[in-house]
Amino acid sequence: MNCKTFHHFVFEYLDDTLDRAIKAKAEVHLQGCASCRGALDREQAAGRSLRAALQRSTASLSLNPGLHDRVQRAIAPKEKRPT
Amino acid sequence: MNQSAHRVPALPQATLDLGELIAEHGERLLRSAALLCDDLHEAEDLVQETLIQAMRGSARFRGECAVYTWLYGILLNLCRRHRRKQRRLIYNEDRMLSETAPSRPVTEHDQTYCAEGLALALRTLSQEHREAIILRYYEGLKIDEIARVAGLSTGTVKSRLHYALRQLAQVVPGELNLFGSADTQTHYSE
Ligand SMILES: [Zn+2]
Repeated sequence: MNCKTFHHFVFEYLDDTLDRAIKAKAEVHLQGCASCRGALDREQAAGRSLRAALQRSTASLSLNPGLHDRVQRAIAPKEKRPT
Repeated sequence: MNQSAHRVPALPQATLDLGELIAEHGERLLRSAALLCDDLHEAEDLVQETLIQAMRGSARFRGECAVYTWLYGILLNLCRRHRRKQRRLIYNEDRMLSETAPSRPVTEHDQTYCAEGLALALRTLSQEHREAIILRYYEGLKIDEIARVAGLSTGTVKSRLHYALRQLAQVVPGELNLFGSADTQTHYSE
């Protein structure tokens, strides 16, 4: 495996969803390639900071208490009006 | 209570309970919707519409995927439709007005939300790239899961992620920029 191929598989490598054979090749490549080890570290660090920031930026949001009733009303069968 | 006395002729046995859906998934859906569409009020509407569609279509839910994944698929489609509509509106407004005033006052809620540099950075991404980032890093999905939810090939998902990360590395304010140096960029450019 070369750097370009590793780059192509970096997310699946992190997900641990690669075929066993490809994963083995990726590991061999990583052992010998400081550049790809660095890229992997950066990808993980970026992931951590993005996760934290996305969670922080939405942490204050909570559901409107009227949500349940509004949905309930929308899905309730329409009542027939007396003519 | 009163409702059960006047129960309407049953729909095909609904397997989903609205109260449970909201309790278990409501908040997560809202937060994801806010990230996807970048507007709290729109996000609330989108979550409401997601739940309405989910309840109406609940007979079609066969439990082949997790409930949340199913809900998320509905939400994502609604967000995409909403963005397309919005883009048309902006285009029309631009043609008629040289300047547009903010449509509503900024609330405290908005401020907390917008104060985040990352929310701003996400705004610079196209809808497709923003989606990829949110699905990966907020929803924590694996590549194949993102592909399924977003209706894309895994190759497209990966290239969107690489591109989006590269873009974010350029615009994320200093304190959030853990993407490494310009070196990342050269490594990722292909
Ligand atoms: Zn390498």
